[in-house]
Amino acid sequence: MSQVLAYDSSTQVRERVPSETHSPLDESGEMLERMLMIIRGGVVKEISLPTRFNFTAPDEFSGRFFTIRDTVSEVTAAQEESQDMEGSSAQERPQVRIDKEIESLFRAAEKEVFEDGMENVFSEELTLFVNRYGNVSLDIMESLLFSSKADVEVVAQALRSLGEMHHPPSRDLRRSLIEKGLRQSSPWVRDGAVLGLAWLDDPAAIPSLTKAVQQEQIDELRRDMGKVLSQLERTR
Amino acid sequence: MPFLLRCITQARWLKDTAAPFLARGDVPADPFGDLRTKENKFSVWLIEDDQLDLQRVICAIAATREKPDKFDYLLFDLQMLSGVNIEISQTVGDTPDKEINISFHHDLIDLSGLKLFNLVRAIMESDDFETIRLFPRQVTDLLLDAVRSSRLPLRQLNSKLQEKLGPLLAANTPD
Repeated sequence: MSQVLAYDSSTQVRERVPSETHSPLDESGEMLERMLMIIRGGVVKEISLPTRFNFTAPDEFSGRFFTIRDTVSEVTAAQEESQDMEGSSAQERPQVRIDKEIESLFRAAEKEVFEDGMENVFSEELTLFVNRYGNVSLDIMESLLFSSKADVEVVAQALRSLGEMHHPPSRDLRRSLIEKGLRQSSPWVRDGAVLGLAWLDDPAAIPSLTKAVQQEQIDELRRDMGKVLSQLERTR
Repeated sequence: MPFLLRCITQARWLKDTAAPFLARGDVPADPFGDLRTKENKFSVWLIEDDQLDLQRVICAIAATREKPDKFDYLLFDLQMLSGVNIEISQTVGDTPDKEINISFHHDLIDLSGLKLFNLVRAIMESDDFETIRLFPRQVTDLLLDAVRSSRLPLRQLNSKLQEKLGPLLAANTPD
């Protein structure tokens, strides 16, 4: 177990608070439990604003710096060495706000021209975020991907990229996000999900894809879902 | 009658999605995104009736790309052009397959907005209209076959594509 530091971004205070000051039974301790669920890729909604605190977490989160504001979609993380944070002020430290960065990435992608077979900045950046922040970045992406305001071409491209990238630790969560894409009202998004699953090539998606084939109303999409289903059956 | 092949993005050509708001005789706007013109012309590939060269043409186009991505295309009758008053002109293509470039590449020329509209309508209203998709794995297999059989030398593929296919070729090549 290693130490992870969390803080209240509204005040930008990053002082360390000894973890032993929080009992698992008090309010902050309960918050820590929820926080860990977020970090582990669990879905938690409507977190009230905590005060600053720190806590212990599995080694894989060592050195990450998490910010909690008022909802899970606003969890941000930066890979800063926790030692760097001791003895320096918040203003002196670079603060990476991945929620804002991912939002910016999605906005910028609306201006990008995507071409089959060609690499694009959006997918490369998305891959970098997932490689760096793992499931935390995917939790943030989820709210952007399935927002009614999302640009369907960008969402479709994101789903393709989530399937194409190589990052084994986040594979299950990426598959789950892509599968959610199969249930969206936009045919563009469903098409992106089909392509994402083709890239991912994970037989664990067979049940959701089977259901999607049964429900799909558009001939071309149903045909393509069937082809990917056959591919996954062969992979199994 | 031969066909013409045009690379597209399939999601732009889904008929059902536009049907609710289209007046009779109208066409959806999305397909025009795949018919981008330059100097009032765009590129197509001629495919004979028997479609024997279809895979070779697809392979040649895929070889110009940076990765073995999905490949969406549609085929429409060459004859359709006369019905919408569009001229076709044989030109040299730009792929690593020289023979394909010379024998199969054409431009649709002297295009106008009205001609494009009429072409999209003719394509979408034809009885056998369908979009076709090859998934990344199929495209990869096509390219690997082409390289292994020396139809396409690896060094002539897009350099980024070479990097991606190289390990796959090495993995399946006997020592």
